[in-house]
Amino acid sequence: MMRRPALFRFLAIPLVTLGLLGGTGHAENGGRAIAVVVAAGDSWNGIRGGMSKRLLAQIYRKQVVLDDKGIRLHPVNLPASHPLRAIFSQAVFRRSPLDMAGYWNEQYFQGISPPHVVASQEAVMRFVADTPGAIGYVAACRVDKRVRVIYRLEVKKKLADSLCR
Amino acid sequence: MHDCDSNTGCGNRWRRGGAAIGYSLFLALLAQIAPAGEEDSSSGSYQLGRGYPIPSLGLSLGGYASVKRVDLETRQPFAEISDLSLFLGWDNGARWRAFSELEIGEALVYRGGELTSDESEFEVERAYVDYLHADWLTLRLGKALAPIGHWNSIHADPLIWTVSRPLTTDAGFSHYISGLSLLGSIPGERGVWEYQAYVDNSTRLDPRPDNRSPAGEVVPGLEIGPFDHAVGARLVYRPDSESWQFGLSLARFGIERIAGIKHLLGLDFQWRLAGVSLSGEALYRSDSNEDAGEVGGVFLQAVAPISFAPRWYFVSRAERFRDETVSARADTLSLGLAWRPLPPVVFKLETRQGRGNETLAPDGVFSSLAILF
Repeated sequence: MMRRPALFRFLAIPLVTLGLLGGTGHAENGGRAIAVVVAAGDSWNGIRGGMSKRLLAQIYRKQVVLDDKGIRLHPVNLPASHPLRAIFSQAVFRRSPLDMAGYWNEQYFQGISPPHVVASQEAVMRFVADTPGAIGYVAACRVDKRVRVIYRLEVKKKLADSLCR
Repeated sequence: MHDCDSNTGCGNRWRRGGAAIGYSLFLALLAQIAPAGEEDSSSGSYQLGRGYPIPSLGLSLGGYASVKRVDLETRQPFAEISDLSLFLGWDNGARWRAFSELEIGEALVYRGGELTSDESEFEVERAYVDYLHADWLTLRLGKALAPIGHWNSIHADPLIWTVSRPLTTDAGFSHYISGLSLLGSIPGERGVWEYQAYVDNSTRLDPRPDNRSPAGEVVPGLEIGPFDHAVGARLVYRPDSESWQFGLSLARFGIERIAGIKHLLGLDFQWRLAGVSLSGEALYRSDSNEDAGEVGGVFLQAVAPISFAPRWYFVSRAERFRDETVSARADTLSLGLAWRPLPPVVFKLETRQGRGNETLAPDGVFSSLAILF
């Protein structure tokens, strides 16, 4: 059971280091990052000229809902039980998904639903590639040509290694 | 301590036992149907506390319900299904969205040995359409909650920590507006400013205005009716850390069938650290009608998790409120426990004691079970 992930890591880390995994831009950090992704091509209009952890938090809290050209943003999440979701939540909100429940209870009462949830990183890639305005996150080692990386969240190496298993 | 007699029904232990059994059965049922209620939603299946989305139509269904028991010193105790609310939302995935909340209030009331539905009322609590022009500007047309203070905007039982509602958030203004609002968020250096400005004309736009007020039930003179007309705004600042927020509310309004123009100033704050939260609101209202008096109130509420009992919270609130129009005031202290077995579910037990509070907010014991569904 343990052989495959170990072998994958053994191959993936040098490949990312060499920048051979799908246009990541900052390939030297590719194996240690969560990649924030949008659809490949030029459909992404940008938000306030760039991306930041702060802006990402506002998008995932649905405080920012439109891009610079007025296209609706569709943030997509992994399930609350997914390890990458927990890491993303801590990195962006400094809270666990469960700690965000109170916030979403209040938003639900206001008619605002939390971000769409899909089951896996592959599902995130498909959703982002197929949905105008979609924005998601995957382990950098999962990035391929279907998506474009617009921001990286650096995480500790131990965590990063676990993301690519 | 209050006097009990056969009329008030105090001491009818079987009723309390019945309520306890009812609560227990309800919780047992929940335990069967409820997955952990975190923030997940919109994956096309029902989730407790997040409703039922129908992505293909852009629709979402949900709501909340609560049952409560109220035992006030000056009134006959009663138990009721106090709220049964249905949310219906629509979002076209671009710039338009709509939301409505339909409610049956007091659907069933058990008082003095009788179960009745005579007090039930159907209400359109909210019904509005939003046009998202930009993050800094959304146009909202319809009936919505009056953006005065934080409590009124989240007043649903599953979201608040006590069964009773502070007078400061209840007795000085209409809970609803009907008209046009402009709202949005504007990023600042280290946080976000959120605003909502509105023009109300409930008299013309809301055919069935409703403004039930717990305080008004006790003191008819205190019942504040729906806005006749109103203009106002609320401004909130939230830092990026979300560890605190501060709000300012301003309003100028008239009340149906009551002479005079009222001016209102409200302040509110929330502060959170390591699971402990401190919140408060203050309100001051003056009146152009010389026969009417000023209204003022302030409360401070603390909620802290109980370290040895996971998902249990200790709640305390102190409030001072006065209404010169009815020459009434209340200084109260509420102490309570809240248990959240799941984020969308809360059981609350509360006792309220006070000084000079017999008229507005009598001493009492409250309990409730509320659920977002």
